[in-house]
Amino acid sequence: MRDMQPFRSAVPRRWLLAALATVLASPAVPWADRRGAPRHLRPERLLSDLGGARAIGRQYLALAPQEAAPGLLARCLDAGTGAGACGDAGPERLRRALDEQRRRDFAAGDTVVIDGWILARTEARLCALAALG
Amino acid sequence: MIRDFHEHADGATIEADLCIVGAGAAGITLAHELRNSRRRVLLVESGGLDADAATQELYAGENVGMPYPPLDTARLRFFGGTTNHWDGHCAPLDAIDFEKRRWVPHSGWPLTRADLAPAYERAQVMCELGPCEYRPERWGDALPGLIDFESRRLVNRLWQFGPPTRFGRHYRDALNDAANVEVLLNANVVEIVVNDEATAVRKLRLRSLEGRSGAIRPRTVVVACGGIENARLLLASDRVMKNGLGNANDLVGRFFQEHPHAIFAFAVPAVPIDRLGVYYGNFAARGEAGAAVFQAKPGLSEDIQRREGLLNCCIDVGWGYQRSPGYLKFRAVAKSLAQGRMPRDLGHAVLTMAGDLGGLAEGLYRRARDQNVFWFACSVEQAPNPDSRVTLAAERDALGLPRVRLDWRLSPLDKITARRACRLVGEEFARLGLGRMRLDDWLLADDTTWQDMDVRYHHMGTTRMSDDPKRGVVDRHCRVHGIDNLYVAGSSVFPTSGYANPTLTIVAMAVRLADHLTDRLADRLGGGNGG
Repeated sequence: MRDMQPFRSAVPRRWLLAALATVLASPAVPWADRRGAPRHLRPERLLSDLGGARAIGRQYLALAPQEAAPGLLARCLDAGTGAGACGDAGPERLRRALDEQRRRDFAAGDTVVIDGWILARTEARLCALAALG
Repeated sequence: MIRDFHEHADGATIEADLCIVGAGAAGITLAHELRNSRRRVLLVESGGLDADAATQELYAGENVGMPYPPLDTARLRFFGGTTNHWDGHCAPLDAIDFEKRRWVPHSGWPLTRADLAPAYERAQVMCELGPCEYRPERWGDALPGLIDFESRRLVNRLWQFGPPTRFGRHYRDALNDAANVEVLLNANVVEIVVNDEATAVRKLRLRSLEGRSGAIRPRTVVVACGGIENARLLLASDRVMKNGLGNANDLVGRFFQEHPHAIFAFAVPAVPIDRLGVYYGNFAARGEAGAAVFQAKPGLSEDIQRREGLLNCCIDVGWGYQRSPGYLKFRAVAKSLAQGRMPRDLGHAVLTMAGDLGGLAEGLYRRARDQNVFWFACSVEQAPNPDSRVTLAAERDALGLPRVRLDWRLSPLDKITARRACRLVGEEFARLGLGRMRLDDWLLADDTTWQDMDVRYHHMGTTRMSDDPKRGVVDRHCRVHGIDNLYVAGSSVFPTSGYANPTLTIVAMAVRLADHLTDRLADRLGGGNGG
């Protein structure tokens, strides 16, 4: 049987869509976490489907093992979005900042392909944070 | 007048000012353009007015390269040629397609898009299309739903749909009524005979499948048999030139190009499917320029082609519940039955469905739940490749002519372009919130393989055009280098292929050739163009 790629994906479509749809839709509540991701980027606050996000994140880290550190990932996300400042200013601004950065990633071609899915770098890094969490 | 070869006496020699060999889009356009002149035009067609199995079999040949459909099904050999089964889907070549691009070896036409512009206008009429206006911005609100792509990366390309024009049927009466035109059916040109110096055609040898023979003594000849057959006839006419006519530099038959076409991705939509109707439907639009039936496709911008060294390419967008063969066959059968028609080849359809029960079930399930996806296929220009070629096989056909051997080969840049174009579309779909794309595994593989290739039956490049005889078979006027009165018409003269279906450009080039021949015949024969 041929041509079944849509339904063979190792990252099931429902995972991917659920994970990505919630990346930018969930409010972020800042809280202190000196050991890893800044509290405003806590994955569980940004990703309601943590299982799917972690699967994506693990594949991203396999592609970019040099980023396998929560602090580094968070700094990358902060640098792209100014999320540190946004986090202090409230979840809505953080959501908008991430959304803007995601669009900029796509416009600039700063994307990664994970199991065939085209993801913005920002999305992949958020998922990687989840995988490391 | 339309006559059958058998109405002439066996062994007869027919005189003509211009003999056109092949009554497809190019040949019929030429004859139509030259009708009602003072020059005697003879349009010679191998087949009759309808398809015939024995004649069609003359097209059989060998495929020794990339998988390709049997050559006797990939084209049609009767009056009207392959326009008897085309879909009327037309677009002109882009300006960049004519350029010599340093990143595309062997690229460059001796013409520009502007040179061909007047001929494209007339070709639009021949193909029963709307106005020759393919710039989306000129249609404004008449084309709602066009995507606002980041224009340095992707642009909207417009295509037009004709009825489609069946050239044989549509222009038959006009040619029959033209006093200066004779259409000769069931006559096969089996050899182009040249003088001892191979500088001019003396005659054409004719044969029929029933064994009748004859000859044509023309002042000028245009070979217009199609992208494969043009090369075959030149190569097989080797009585004086051992490598065939026009082949002093071993170019005839080389650079065979197709439009590699395959589904390469799907996207989960984030908008209603009909939001993108202008991309997958036949969209009737009326604007200041007039009315036309359009379809839009995302295409690579010229800018990104130059920056990244890519070929030209555009993307077909479709939608459906499932792409598997079992479900697609089910859909075709259901559509036939709904229209009250018995499906063609029902047995094959049943076998296909039975062999793909999983895909069929998945499709039916998704259909019941109304879960659509967008799918994407690429129409990519093929990089000219000298090793992709048509040669003569050892086996001969019923007329004694060597059959063709097609060795179709692709180049790495073809797939690189498809992969890049696809990813750009995926990125733009995500950026604009239209959907999320998943690329097929075969496309991501860093090799030259293609999966489930769906070729377009576009045969191009085998008698390529260049002003330099070392680089081309014909010059800018389609005249074979070194042979004063021999021309070639059709897509075999295309040095590069763009992404567009070739018929509109075939017709435009034939219109342009008709103008050239009108002037040239007037020079050769004296007097004006006649009434």
